[in-house]
Amino acid sequence: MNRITKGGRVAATERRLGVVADLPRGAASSLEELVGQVALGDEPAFEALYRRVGGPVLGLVRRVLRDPAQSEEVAQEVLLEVWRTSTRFDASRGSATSWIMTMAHARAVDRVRSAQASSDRDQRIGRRDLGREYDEVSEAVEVRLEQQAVRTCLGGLTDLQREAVQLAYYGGYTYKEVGELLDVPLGTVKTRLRDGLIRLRDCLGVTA
Amino acid sequence: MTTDLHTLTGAYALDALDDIERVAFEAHLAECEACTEEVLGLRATGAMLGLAAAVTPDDAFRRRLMLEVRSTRQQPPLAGSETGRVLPLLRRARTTSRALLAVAAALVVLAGGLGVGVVREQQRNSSMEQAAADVASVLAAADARTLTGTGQQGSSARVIVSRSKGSAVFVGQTLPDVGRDHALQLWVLGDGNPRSVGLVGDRVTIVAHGVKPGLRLGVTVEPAGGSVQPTTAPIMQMDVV
Repeated sequence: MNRITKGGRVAATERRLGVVADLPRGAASSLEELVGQVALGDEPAFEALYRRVGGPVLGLVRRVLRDPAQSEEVAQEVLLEVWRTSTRFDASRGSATSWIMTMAHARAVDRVRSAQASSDRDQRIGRRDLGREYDEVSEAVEVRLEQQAVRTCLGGLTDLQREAVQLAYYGGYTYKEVGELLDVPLGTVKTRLRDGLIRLRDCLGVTA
Repeated sequence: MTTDLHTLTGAYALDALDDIERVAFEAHLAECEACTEEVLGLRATGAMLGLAAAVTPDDAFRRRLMLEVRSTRQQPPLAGSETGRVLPLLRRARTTSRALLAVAAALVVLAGGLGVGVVREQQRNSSMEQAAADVASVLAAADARTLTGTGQQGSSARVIVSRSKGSAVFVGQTLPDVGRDHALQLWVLGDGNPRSVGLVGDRVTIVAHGVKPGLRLGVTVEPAGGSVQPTTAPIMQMDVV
């Protein structure tokens, strides 16, 4: 469980993806264990894994891409990729959550940046409504706790750090685009992204 | 390690670098333990931001996914020698190796930070340093231009062409996975018989020589190991302009 202390620092004794109440199988396994079972071609294990990460993957992809149909398509690609490459997952190099969400973000960003998406991109809404979708979310208690923690820790960043991180991550912009949007020099964007993430990492108690 | 490259850990972890910088930074990562550690932690932090965006998919989504799963073959595990330290950081990095990245890393220094990545297969037989230098010379050319090619199934690639050098650097972006038994092969087309440049994949960088306006670059699906001449129609083509 995660606790948020007065200082806004989150104590994470065990940071895992949301465990939903009605999990018939795999609820007690760590995500890493589930990936191990999935690697053996275990479809029920994949379904259990899906119940934990499907919502976050779709949510993240949708946040970046906005278009619901395209988002479902990309999210499905990501989850299929998890299925296909679970055989190559190596827990010594980061958590399964990090592996899956990194893949989801990379795919979403690839889609945004491919020439195909370039015309859609102009229609995406920029910084105005970043953060708005925090409330329309999963009901899983742990996911809500994660959201609370992230919100609290984002609040601990400087405005520039927060805006830069959100534009890059949720907006799928390159740091150069972020620099243009925020009208700050590139060197500043680079360091704010890094400083901001480091501060977030420490606040959230994240370990690789 | 230059300070400048190190400050890119944040942007890299958030997928906020453009292709060229990303490849350069990945080459740097291959040699920088501290950066790799930092990137892993920052990626995990990014993952938390991702979790916070969770939604509840409808059940139809799950059913479609499970249907796909049932008909999708899983990849074989990597052999021990293929798993370099940097691999998990790279997106779909199955085609890279540490040694190649190290070559590219050396290149980054040579090219003054305008770095370049992963050269493979055919270049492996010739001199890799030569290949890396070729890439650098195209990127450094005053007339270097970047083109983006797209093809079937949302596939895309970036090509940096220099007329004065008569060369093009091809960087795979979102290329389809064709499985173990097939490979993607890059060709120079439009000048007599198609000429093979080499095998390509996501995040693979390769140089095509003898490229000039009027010719095309094309990617075909071939049997594993590649073919002497294309055996299928290109899934992606780019005009050299």
